[in-house]
Amino acid sequence: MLRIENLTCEADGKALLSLDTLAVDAGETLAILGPNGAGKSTLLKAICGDCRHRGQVELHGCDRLDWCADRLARHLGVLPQASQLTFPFLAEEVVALGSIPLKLSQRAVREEITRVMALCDCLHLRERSFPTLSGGEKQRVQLARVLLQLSQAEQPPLLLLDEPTSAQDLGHQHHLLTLINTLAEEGYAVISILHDLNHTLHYCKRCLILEAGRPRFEGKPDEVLAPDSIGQVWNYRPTFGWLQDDRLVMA
Amino acid sequence: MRASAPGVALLLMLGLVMSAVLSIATGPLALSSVDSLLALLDHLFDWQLAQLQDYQRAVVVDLRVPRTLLAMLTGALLAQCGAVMQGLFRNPLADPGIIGVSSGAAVGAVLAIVMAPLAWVAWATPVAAFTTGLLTTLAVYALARTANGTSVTILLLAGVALAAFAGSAIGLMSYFASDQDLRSLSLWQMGSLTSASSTGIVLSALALLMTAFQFQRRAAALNALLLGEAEARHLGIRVERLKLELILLTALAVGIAVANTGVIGFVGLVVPHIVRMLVGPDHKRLLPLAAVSGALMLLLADTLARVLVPPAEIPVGIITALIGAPFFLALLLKQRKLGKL
Repeated sequence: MLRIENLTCEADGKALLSLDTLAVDAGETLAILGPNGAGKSTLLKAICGDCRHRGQVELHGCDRLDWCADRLARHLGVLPQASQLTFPFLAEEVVALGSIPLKLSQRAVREEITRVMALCDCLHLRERSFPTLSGGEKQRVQLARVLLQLSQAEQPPLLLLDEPTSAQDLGHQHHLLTLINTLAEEGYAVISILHDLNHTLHYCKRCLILEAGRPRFEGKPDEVLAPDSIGQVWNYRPTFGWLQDDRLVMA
Repeated sequence: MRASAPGVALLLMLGLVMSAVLSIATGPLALSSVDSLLALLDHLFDWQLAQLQDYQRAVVVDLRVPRTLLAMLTGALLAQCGAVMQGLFRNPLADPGIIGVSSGAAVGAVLAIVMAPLAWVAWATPVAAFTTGLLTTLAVYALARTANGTSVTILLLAGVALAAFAGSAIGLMSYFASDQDLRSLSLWQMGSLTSASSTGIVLSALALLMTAFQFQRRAAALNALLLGEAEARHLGIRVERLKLELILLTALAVGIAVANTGVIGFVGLVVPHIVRMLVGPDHKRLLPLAAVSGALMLLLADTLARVLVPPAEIPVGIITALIGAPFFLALLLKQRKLGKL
């Protein structure tokens, strides 16, 4: 559903990202990995049109630039790393902003808000003032907003997550990654920037490792994430081991 | 804790009607509120109910009523534009004055007061104020525009620089002003509702109707903008166009307000804040309630300005600044405590 070709991003004449081709199918979970400054966020921004780029970004066979704004909003959701919102909206009002590109009755919106907030485990925060929430709580409320925004997609939607687990506690990290997989089973394509390689191993079908703005490795996490490749990219060699249920872990 | 928006609206409307009656009945010439109201009805429907002399009727109909109307219209325009600017900049400290509209408009108005032939002044002032206000705003916007959108920091700083420039331009022009002009200039610079002309009232009413309608249509988009520009874009909002439209509408409304009354500060800052505290930041509720509250606040401030030192009166801008400046400082302290400054 997502096809990228000959993508390049520059800032002040310096190449930030150069990617020949990348395709993501509906139902796929792709992790973007790489050291700081490798171009992970730039890739996400190029996909959603937040940064200038050359090359093609196609969604369901149609260039992103040719999509009408509301329809694109219903099919492409972005969860930013942190929220800048400082005005005292209630958490449920923040989620309700996700209904702007939708054509739903007020009652339907209320029902959807309850559903997506429950999915993101933030329903108990609905009457709280958003700026007073913790970083992790804010991020879950924002995710609920994005899920509401994508809830009326006619074709499988694409969800972009910028370090979705960075502010979450251990329990919520796994809850969130499980949720991402559930969404993928419903047909969502999910691209997330991750830092935890174990999360990538256990929750993602594919990973793309960027280094200095170029793709370095791409493939199934348990094939790509080996001591050699990790050592080359991050200058750190982890130790691998197997859990009793045959799952690979690294330390 | 939030108050219910319909309840707040009802109370505000009630307050506004009562303040309007108070404003019409207040002044150096003592008239009862009943007679004042009757005189207004007589004028509207050609009746003879009020027990008043002709000169007393004239005070009510020709002086107090236009002034009351202008106070309400200007207050509503300023407060509404303040609410929009704060949303646009995602900064609760923003005010129409800050992006340069007020100072730019002031330059045009002063130019008209000093240069235009006497017969033209009534028309030339609002037209010139709107034109230079708009030009200033567009210049600031062009300065702040970058490849990735508009930089709010540059927008604010450019507003500061232009305000300083406008201040010196006005100072320079006052050298060339006649004594008569100088007096009306200084009064006007402090913000005053004394020159309530029918032209001014009609223009203000048209501007308020149009901007209120246009702002309300964009209320949901303004809410989304509070999330951040990228987030608003992801929600399907054409952010660059929205910002340009909002800036144009604000320039129009503030330009007309400044031409009529001079620079009345802080209404656009204080009112949206209080309303936001009462009903929350949702622009669908905030914008209309801010307009009504702005009308109420400026009307009360002007009534106060007329009764404090009778028979003279204090320019209303001084009253709003006396209330607004400490409020602004309190907001600054609060922001500093939150670590946002």
